[in-house]
Amino acid sequence: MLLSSCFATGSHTLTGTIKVTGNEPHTELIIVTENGKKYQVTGDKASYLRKEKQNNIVKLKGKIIKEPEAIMSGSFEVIEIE
Amino acid sequence: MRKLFGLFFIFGILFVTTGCSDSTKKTTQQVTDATLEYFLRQWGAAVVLSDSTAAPSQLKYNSGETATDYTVNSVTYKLGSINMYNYQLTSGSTVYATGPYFYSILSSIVPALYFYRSIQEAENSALENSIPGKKEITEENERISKLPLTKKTAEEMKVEREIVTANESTLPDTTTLYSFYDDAGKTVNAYYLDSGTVTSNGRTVTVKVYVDSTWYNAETNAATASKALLKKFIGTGNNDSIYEWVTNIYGSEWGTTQYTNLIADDKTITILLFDIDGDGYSGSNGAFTVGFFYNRDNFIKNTASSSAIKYSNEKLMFYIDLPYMLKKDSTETSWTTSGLYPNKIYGTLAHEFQHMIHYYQKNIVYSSQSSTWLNEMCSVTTEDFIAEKMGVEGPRGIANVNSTGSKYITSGRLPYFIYYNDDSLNIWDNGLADYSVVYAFGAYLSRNYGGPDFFKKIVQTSDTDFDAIKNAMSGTTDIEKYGSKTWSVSSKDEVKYLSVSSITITPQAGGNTIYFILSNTNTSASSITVKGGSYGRTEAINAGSNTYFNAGTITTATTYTLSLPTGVFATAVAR
Repeated sequence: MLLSSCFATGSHTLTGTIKVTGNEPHTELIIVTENGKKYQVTGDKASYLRKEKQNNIVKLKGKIIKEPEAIMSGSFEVIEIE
Repeated sequence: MRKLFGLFFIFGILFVTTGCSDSTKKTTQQVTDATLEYFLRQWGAAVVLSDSTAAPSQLKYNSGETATDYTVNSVTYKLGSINMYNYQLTSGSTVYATGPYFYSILSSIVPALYFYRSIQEAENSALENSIPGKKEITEENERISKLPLTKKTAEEMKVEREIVTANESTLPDTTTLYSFYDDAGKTVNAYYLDSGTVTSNGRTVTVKVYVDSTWYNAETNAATASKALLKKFIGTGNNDSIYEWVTNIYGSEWGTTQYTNLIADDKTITILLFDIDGDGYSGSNGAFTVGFFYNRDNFIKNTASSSAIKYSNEKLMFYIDLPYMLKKDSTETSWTTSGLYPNKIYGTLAHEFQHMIHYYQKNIVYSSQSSTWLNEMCSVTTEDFIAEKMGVEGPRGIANVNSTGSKYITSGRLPYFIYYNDDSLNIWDNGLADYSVVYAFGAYLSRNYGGPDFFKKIVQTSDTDFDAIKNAMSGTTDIEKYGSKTWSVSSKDEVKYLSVSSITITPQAGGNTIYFILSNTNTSASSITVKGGSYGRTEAINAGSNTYFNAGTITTATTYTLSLPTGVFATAVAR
């Protein structure tokens, strides 16, 4: 019951490739979905994804904070890595 | 920390195979797709063969002592040759590597003890270092993309301009404080020191230099350093500037865009010199942030935003570490604008300028985005392109462009590369090893696929990463995979791109030293074993990397077996 409430309305699942973009020292950790959308990845699990999953296809559960717009990435807060 | 291994050469018989040689006729298979495998394998062979001026095409780091000329829009860029065996990585009296690092298989078979050694272990050493970006990866990625694109006009957004336009005839202006935000949102108060203009390909820009007021007042050389930096960036109007050389390759750094929340093209570039990170002359553990470009400043400030854009300086600008520029090397009797540290700053400015242009060209003009490893590769290689013009060593670490240097070179990016040559190419950790690896790869690409013009094509496209590199190539020769289980070496420095897991190598009459390059195209680390008779070695190899093995010198036929997972490929070189 508790688990289902964690994924109540407003939770999302994104599948895509983890990448680090931009230039130092202000790089961004993003996920690029299969349809080309880009979301900056935030949350406690972001550092793990950056360290261990660059260039990997991952499935993330979390919250879309903002959808991408043109040149600007959206934002996705990761809660769980499948 | 990697243990220091010597290069073990065993003269004589390594072992004699008791198995039967495979009499299968040699087969070849064309590789038609310029993939990660294609790049890693050839690049690895080029590293091994870098002391030879006779390496075949697409495997050349070293064309001899005379530099090679590359021309872009009538401007000639000179690239010096690279011999990896002339480099050495040291710290104090400790030598970590001399020439490319090879794992020797001549120890007994041991299980993999650990996966990739920690970059942090290396950076905790006493090595003096400087990197164009911050040493620590920021935990929170700053958001610069929250503002909607079309809903608001510039008038509707509250804009607070804190920079007062100065009367340039009164420069330097040390009576007015001009405020900037640093990248953390802290205020930096600066004097407006100097300005000048430069024209390239019909575009004229004004460059303005500001210096932290506290440092200006405290340091005698601050003004001199700042003026010298401006001069290097804008030159004298005779195609002698960083601005002209770099825009000539990659195009303009800004222009009119379709986006309402990006700054207008006022054809002005700002350089702010101050103490980045407030760490003075010593840096943090010997590491400095030497300078950076932050695309936050390309956006119109929005004080209502919770993202970094609320601290936008609304300028095309560079941030340069003034204390670093004012350092004097121990070999210098006094500080000068042509000293070691100022020269590193000039290279840094060129490096950051590529980032500035890259952001505009790739993200805005071509509506795409590069991974950091590729963007950084372009920047360090840009330093290489113009090192000779600036009269600096550059990342190659050698002042004379018509020389591969003398043993042993300890400056530039390659000492780190020869030791960390198995670091991942396309996984970015912001360590010194990462910068060294992407430079080594960029130097390889530029010397084999067309110099600066090749990099222009990598940037000026909507393609990303390896697709951008692949599609910039033309007239290349595919690699031939070697599918036979026997190989009689016919000439020194022969290369075979193996597609077999076991091979019997018959050396030339005088013997050959055998090297294996294992290329991991997977997105995660893999474990591999290379065996030769009763000897062998198991190692964990990084994702997207080459790992180099010395399999010993053989004088009789010797069988090697390679336990390679899917996605890991072996290339053999007989020397």
